[in-house]
Amino acid sequence: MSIEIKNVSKQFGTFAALKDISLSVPTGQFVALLGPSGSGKTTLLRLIAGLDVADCGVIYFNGQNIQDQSARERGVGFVFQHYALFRHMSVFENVAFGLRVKPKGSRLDDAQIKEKVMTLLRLVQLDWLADRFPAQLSGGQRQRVALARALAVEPKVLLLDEPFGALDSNIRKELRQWLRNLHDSLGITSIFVTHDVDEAMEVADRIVVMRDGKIEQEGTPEEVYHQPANAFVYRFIGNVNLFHGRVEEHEARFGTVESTGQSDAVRAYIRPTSMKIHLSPDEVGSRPFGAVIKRLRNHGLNVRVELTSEWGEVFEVAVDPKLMDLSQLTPGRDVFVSVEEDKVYYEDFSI
Amino acid sequence: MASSASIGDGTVIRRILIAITVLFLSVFLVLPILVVIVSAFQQGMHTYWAAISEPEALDALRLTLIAAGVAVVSNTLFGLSAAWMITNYSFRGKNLLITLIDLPFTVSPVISGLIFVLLFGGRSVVGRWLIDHGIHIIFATPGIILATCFVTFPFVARELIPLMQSQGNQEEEAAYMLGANGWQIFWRVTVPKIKWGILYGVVLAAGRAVGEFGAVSVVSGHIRGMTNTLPLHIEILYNEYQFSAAFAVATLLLVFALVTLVLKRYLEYRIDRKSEAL
Repeated sequence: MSIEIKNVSKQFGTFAALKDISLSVPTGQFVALLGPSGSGKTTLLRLIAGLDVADCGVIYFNGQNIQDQSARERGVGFVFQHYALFRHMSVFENVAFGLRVKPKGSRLDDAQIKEKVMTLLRLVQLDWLADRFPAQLSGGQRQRVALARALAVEPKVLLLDEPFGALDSNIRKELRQWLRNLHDSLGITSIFVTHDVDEAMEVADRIVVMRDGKIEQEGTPEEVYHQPANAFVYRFIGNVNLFHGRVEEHEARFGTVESTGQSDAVRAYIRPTSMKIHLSPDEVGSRPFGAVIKRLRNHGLNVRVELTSEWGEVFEVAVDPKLMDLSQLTPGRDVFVSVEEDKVYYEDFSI
Repeated sequence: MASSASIGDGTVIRRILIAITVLFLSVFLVLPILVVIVSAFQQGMHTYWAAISEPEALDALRLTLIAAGVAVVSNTLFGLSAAWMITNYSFRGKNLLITLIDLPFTVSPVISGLIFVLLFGGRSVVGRWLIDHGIHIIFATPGIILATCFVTFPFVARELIPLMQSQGNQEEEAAYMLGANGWQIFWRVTVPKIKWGILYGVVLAAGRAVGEFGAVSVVSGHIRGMTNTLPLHIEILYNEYQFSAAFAVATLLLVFALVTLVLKRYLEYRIDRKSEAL
């Protein structure tokens, strides 16, 4: 089912949670709503679900206006942030709930419900826990029960609010991939809310970056990472170094260059992965500058080197230990740094 | 002495504290209960049995149970709807409502009774009209039920509001997303979540309703066999110097109180276990 959101706004008291949002999600896509807390991403998800009503604007499912439809008619599955499992029901009854509350005419009989619930529990690999209660499960297991419960009513759209938010980091990574595979095998449209950039990058087909109730950018993970629409997106997606400089003769200059008083301030954002450390100036590419190594931090696969530029700004460079001899990067050593010019993002600066 | 010693470790202090507690418990709890029991059986088993099986005592018991039953049912309905409203909706005057629910706790029971006498008595417009139409509230059973409801109505609501507020409405939302209608959500999700809280409130309300004296006394009119509840019946017996009979009937109230206490403890234990399981 495709989802089309047109000019939707939502106000809570004096707080504008969503400001004129428009977004379309084609059938079968897995979309991440990504943003800091308070950006309106959960509100948007709840509007799509029908848990809240928009102040203005329209939401279409498959081209049909669904504003007046209840959650049941919308055919939406919702996985809550803290799972919201029914604590007084067993895992089996939790999953069966959506089937049991159906009106008499369309309700399955007990044997069919049992078969369907067990199939779903096998799908989430929890059939052996059918008789347990939510309180007896681990976080990851609860998460999967919540998923099975949402899938029981065969939704066309699956909405997930911070699906991995409450989990340990190693379980989180495992579940991400599993959820992605599940989405692909079911062929439904999924939207999930997250504030975790890695999560959005890894799972989603498309990322919608939100801030203050507005969409800052939407695009594939590659687009959002490599062609950020603005400084906010650049800073939010991945680590970034900030340099202050000035625009002079249509060129950004940094550090020691004297201000003429005529120039405009400019800020440049450069990712640690878009910079390189060189031990001598001759092996350097474009516009190198001097820096002093402050310290090294090991992040597993890559190493972060913290440096101070010759004009005193502190920044980070990512170094691949396979390409560079780490023993030469001793704190206090003078080195040269080059920048991949096409990966730099300038703010308030036009040529 | 070791520096890790905690407050109250000194033997002297400990003994003094224990002595004070025991003294207090004996004077204010054990002794009165003993007096009630001893006095009740002072003139033998036969008198005791006669006192609690005479028609007027049975009528008083019946009226007490009716008033308590109605009060419990109406409090449960009121408590549920008030708590549901307060936790699921936001509206103007919400805090005022929460404060008002406590009003019967702060108003003296005698005043509560007087309110109803003034409201439904023969001197008020409403009371006059009702009496003209053959409906008697004051000095009749409805008045006793009303007064009992009034003094007990905060119990269930007060128990449920914090409970439901702490549980939030995520499970209800989940049920809604799964296609349940309001009725199904209420019975299958909300009630199981709060049933121990409801029972706890009910037990407290029932305990209070059975023992209520002040408010009921004002609206009752003390008509024997008609508008006497157990506490009022005891008062009459006592005033007529039938001490043994008065204490015999009092043991009935004592039994109610003990049952209430045991149920209360059990429910507290269940509620604790519930919240630990989360």
